[in-house]
Amino acid sequence: MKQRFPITGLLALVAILLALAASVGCAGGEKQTTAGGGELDAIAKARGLTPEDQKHALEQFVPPGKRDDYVMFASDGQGGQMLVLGVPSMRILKSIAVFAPEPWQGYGYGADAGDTILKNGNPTVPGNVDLTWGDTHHPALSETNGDYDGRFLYINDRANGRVGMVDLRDFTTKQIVAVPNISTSHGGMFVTPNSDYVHVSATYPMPWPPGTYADLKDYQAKFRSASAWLKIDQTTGKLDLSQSFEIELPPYNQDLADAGKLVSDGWGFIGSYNTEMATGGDAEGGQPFEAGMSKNNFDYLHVINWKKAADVVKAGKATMMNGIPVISMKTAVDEGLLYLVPEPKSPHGADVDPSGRYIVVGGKLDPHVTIFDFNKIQTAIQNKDYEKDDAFGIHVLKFDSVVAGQVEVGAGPLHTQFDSQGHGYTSLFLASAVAKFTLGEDVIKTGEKPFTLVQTIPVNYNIGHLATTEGDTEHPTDEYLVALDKWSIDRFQPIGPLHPQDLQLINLVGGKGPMDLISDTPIGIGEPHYAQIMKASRLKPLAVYAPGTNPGTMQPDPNAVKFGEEKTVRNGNTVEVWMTAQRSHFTPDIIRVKQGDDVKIHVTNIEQTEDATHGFGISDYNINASLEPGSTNNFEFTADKAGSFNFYCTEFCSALHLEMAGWLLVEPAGAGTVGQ
Amino acid sequence: MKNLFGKPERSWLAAAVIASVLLAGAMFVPLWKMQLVAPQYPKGLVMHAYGYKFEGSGKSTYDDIREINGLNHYIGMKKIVTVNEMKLFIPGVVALIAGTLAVSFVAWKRRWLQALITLGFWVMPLFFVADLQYWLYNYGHTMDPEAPLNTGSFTPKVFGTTKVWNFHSETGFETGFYLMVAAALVITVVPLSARWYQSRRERRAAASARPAAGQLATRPGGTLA
Repeated sequence: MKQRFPITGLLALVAILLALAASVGCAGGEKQTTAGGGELDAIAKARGLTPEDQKHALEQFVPPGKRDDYVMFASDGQGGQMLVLGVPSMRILKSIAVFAPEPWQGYGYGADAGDTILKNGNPTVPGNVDLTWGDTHHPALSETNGDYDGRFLYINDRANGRVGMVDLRDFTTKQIVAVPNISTSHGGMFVTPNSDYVHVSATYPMPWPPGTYADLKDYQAKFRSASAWLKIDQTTGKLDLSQSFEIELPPYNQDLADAGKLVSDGWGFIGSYNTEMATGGDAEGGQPFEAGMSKNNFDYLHVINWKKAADVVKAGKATMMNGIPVISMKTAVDEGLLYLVPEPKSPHGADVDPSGRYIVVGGKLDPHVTIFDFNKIQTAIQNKDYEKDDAFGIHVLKFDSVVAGQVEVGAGPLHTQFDSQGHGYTSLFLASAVAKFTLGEDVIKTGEKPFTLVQTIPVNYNIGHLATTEGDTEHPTDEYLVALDKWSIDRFQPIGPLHPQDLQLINLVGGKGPMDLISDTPIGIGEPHYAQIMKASRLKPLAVYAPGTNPGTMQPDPNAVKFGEEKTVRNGNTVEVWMTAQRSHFTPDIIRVKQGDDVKIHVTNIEQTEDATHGFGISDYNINASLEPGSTNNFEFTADKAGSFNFYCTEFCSALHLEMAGWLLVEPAGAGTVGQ
Repeated sequence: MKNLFGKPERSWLAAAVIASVLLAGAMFVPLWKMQLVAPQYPKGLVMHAYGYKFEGSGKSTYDDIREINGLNHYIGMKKIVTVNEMKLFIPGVVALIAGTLAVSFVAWKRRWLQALITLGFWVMPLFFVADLQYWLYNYGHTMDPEAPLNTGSFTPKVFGTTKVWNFHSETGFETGFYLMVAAALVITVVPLSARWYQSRRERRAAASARPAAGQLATRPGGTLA
């Protein structure tokens, strides 16, 4: 009995302590809530925020040091680059240099990776100049089983008919391909559900064979478009033209396109306008281009069986044209690869829903979205249920046989993305709004009526495209929608006549509740056209490169050196330097050459510390590179300008960043001195 | 247990084996560590000191020691390198263990050899601490006078927090050091306590056998061998 007292006492003590701790905890909690609530109210009052504003602030806020759930990849139009933003915060993470030189990333300013990619991306048409801009429009993320896989990103250049490939291990461009036989490409960009092909199609037809001249009176006879299927190398993500093919198309303006998925896997759908084949000429006594283009009430949705087309190419039924096999329109018709479906009216969108069954076409000049049923298209093809053949002998399926429904959504419907509940969300350019409507009964999970308008929400202003979270995959996540508005007018601090674009974040409330506008984000560095939003967890980016990696090839660079291996070698008129960079010095820090020498410099950043990036800029030589940890960059130039020049680290790297510099001494040729 | 403590030879043998195992373990784990805490290293910068080498945390893409050296060069501190006495650590441990086992199995009757071995076990951790303190002093007092940042001389602590500018360094002993101390304690305490226990038992036995012979101060057994 004597021994029990201490144990009982101990238990009692613990109980008392616990009770005390609990009461203190409760008191603390209450105190905090009261103080927080009062403080929040005071802040809201001081800043004039309504309860609605406060709700939106909480929905979007990502605390310091925390990350977004989603990453959005948005094109930036004439900027020629790709923007990477976090969603919901809408903070810009990076602008990826693709088609235009960009000095911060050292892209196109002397380092081999960017210079080579830009140079190899020039079209091979004779007489072409070096292209230093692009018009990025429709990004396409790589997919596995119909969902984004976070490996690669493709982006088209509307201006020059090219495709850029971005590796998502380091968020840099690895390849630009000038797609043969195409001079411009607008919205015809998508990746097939298992990343077999990137598709891109021509916007404005060009005379065939490419590079030749043809007058517009020969438009129908000589101008052609193409649907290009570019093979993706599964290891590097690069496009391999030797494994790719094209299908010759009529000189209509092919526009937005999408890949079939699930039931429609193996098929592709391309909307079009100007099936009138108008060519303008308003100053030559004709109609304005635009009026001629929008005369008809119907244009043609192109339906393409790409898996069968690949087999037709394998069977040798294509002809090589500028390095790529091309299936002629006649072969495409004979082999059953290409059909047309009437679609109203100069449409912009052609988007396949997550089930793969429905293809939604935004009417643009017609207030409806027209929803086609893939199963009905298949039946019509089998039954040869043709309305007519077009001027090129392509079978046109009967509209009534293939349409599933039409929904009057408002003025100027363009582009549609989806949620998982059976809804489509369509941008309405003329109405400046987003419309939400239901698809067919088989995909609706909310018990709503099929093919019915559910809600429209105004946006500010003139929306082009929109993107929902994972909204063009097989599994949309129903969280957010971003409206990519072309005009912002009065939404932001005025900064002169050129206004920022407005990206508006809208809450989808799980696809169940009404859409709710959360925020506006100004974009003042380009004009985003189209975007895809991917779960951030799908990305597996590098923190640093493995030592001595060339970022252009992602392979070990043959000229990479380790610390202590630096050297300078003169060979005739060539001076070659193998250099290292680390905080806070270049080794060597003096390069001595003679005017006219060919100079080759290989710089390896030998650091492996995350974010220990250096730069390498040479004054007056138009050279600048970004040296990320582990990377090797190579420079080659002629030292044609004599003088004593500085090179220095252009990225603030350390406490001795300003001291991280060196000399390029270019001794004048002959007896003369600089300046004489 | 009674049997173990009952015979001094066995207790020495047991202590020698346990201490040898503990000491051998110290070859495979770090003895000491230094952690640099600075805002721009959210994953931390850690240097583990083994008896014979330095090693980073392995948690980051970078090499922690290279990074620490990089930072140290701003204040003109020498690069961290394995010093000569570190090359003696593994041979020293192996020799001490070999000597211990030899004494235990071959020459266990020689008390002065046991004392020497015991001393050897104490030298390991004590020399380590003294040597470490020496080098910390040395590094803190042989700064390059042309270094970009002049912090003046200082001696980083063997154990605890040292602050230079915005860098805190936290230092402390690790498993290997405690293994060395444990080995020394085992080889010292176990045989001594066994002997004390043995002698007490013998005194009591002697006292009960000869209750009347209190004046005789002769210790039982003559020597303690």
